Amino acid sequence: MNGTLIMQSVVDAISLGSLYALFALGIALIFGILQLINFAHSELVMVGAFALVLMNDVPLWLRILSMICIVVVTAVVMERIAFRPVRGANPATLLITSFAVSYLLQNLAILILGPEPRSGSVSTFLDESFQVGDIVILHLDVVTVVVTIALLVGLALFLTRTAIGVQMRAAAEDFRTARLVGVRANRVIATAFAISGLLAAIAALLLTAQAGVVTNTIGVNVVLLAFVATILGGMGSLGGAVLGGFLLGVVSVTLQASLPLELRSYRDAFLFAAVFLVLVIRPDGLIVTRAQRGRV
Amino acid sequence: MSSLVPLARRAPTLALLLALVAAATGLAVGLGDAAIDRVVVSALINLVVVVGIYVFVGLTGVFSFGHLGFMAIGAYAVGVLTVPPDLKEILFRSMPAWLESFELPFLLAVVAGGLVAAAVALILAVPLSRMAGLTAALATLSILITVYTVAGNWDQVTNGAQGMSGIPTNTSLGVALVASLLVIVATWLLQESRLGLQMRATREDPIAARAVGIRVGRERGIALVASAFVVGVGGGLFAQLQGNLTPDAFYLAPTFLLIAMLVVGGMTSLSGAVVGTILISALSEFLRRIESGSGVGPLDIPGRPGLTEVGLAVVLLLILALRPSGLTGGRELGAGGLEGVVGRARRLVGSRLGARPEKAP
Repeated sequence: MNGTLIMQSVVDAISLGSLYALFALGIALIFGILQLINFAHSELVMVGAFALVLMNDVPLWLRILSMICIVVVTAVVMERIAFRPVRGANPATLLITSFAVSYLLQNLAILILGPEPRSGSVSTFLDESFQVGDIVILHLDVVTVVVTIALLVGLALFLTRTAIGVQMRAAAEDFRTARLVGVRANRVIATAFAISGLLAAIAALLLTAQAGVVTNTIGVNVVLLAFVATILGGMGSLGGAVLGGFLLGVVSVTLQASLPLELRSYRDAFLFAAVFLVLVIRPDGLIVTRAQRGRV
Repeated sequence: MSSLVPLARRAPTLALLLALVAAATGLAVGLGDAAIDRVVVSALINLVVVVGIYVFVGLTGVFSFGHLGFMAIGAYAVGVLTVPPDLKEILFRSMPAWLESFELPFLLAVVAGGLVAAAVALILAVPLSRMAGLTAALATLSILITVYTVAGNWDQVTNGAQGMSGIPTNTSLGVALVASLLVIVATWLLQESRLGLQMRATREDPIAARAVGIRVGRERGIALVASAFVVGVGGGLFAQLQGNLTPDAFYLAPTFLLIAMLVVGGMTSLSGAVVGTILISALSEFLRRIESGSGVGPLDIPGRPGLTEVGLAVVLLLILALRPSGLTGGRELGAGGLEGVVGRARRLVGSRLGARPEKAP
């Protein structure tokens, strides 16, 4: 492999890794507090993506702003209607619930919008590219990385500097004790869902800009990969999820570039077989957070 | 044999379930609608698969998203074993010659399909039997995705994303009915046996079960292999009903449907698996008719794609929120409230510990 190709792969890996990290962060945030792996995160992305392409005529800033509002509201309503009634149930039941919510929203989209995919571009600026030496870099790649880093910094400040952020971290550490010292469960959980909605909305924006076509399953594949990132990073650890996301970006790009052609389409099979192995060897993920350790 | 007496005392459950399946089948076929026969056959195959999933999920309490992977393995195995060799040569260009030459009669192929699925499960049982809860759910989901990817790309055997076609269609109503009744009988015998009781004890309290000398991992492993066999057989029957297979038939959407059946009925009883399958099959056919706009009775409603799935998801969410242990509440029909399975498994653990069974917390 020559130098240009390697550099190009690095750019691809960072951009892809950012997207995975955004997804994984939204999932890990909810998991840390509720032990809920949210399948329906992909449908939050779907809602955002549909909102973007359906508001084609609205100015871009207004489109993005209203899309974010719609997704955040959807996330909060989803928690209120579907997840609150089963709060505290065992993780498998929670997983089934989120699977059902995901299926519901996917098919609700068909029921309302019909089964045909919708196409639409976000902004022509994002599709353009520039060159550094021989490496082609899309504006979208740069925007993805910058936005991801901005969100990470913002989230870190939120979690360490605001009262509700500190309460969220306490809830993720040990929910019962946190409640005993006065953390209000409903408020913390609603905030967590609102933030995961925000992350999903931004992910929807980037994904729509990348794909140009929106279907009701637009988020599913990436969310499945984000599960991998979350597991790799130790379920519930936010830093771990981000790390897992970038690691996964590197692994997928490397596999894509290095696997022989006839094996390349098996990439996901290799990835998920690897996940299976990780779960066998380290059932709690590569990085074990304190909250995850079982108590007998 | 003293153990036959309690077995006979609990036999009403089995008789009830068999009668229920036969009656539901008779009722549906009796409607005399030509289109409904196929629906009934496919519901009976779903029953085989759901009961198969129950053998693992219900008896050991370890949740699995991956069982449709075993169904896919059984189905593709039956496809490879029953498409006539000369047809294979035309349809599957890249299939290796030794594989092309296989041809088995229908029932033998279905059993072989179950065995192939069980063999894969045997390998996976070693790691999977160590897992429970969320880890197991995610690991089995990884299995499902891996099988799906392989089925969609292994052109030599599965014909990849285009799917496999030309499978003879031998699954008749009679075959499906007999298969589902047999599977129910076998599952009931298993769950009432010493082995089945031990599996249920690991479900109720793995730590206490281990303390009384039950080898939790071994019980889970056996349940997984048995369950994969049944699900694989269901896959084989499915292949022989459809005549063609695509990877999507064994991915997330059908997984959702079968999980809904199991959860709505109640995951921890055989009655739950049976009742859930019958109810969800009926509901889903009802919704499908509304969806296709053909009208129900005097009502004439325009077509609404997506309605069936939305309706099923709402039902599942309602059950999860309002009655998480399912419509049967995890009890067997005809077993009498307090004599439920849960109580028996608890007592098994309790009496071996020499302690009086306590009320559930």
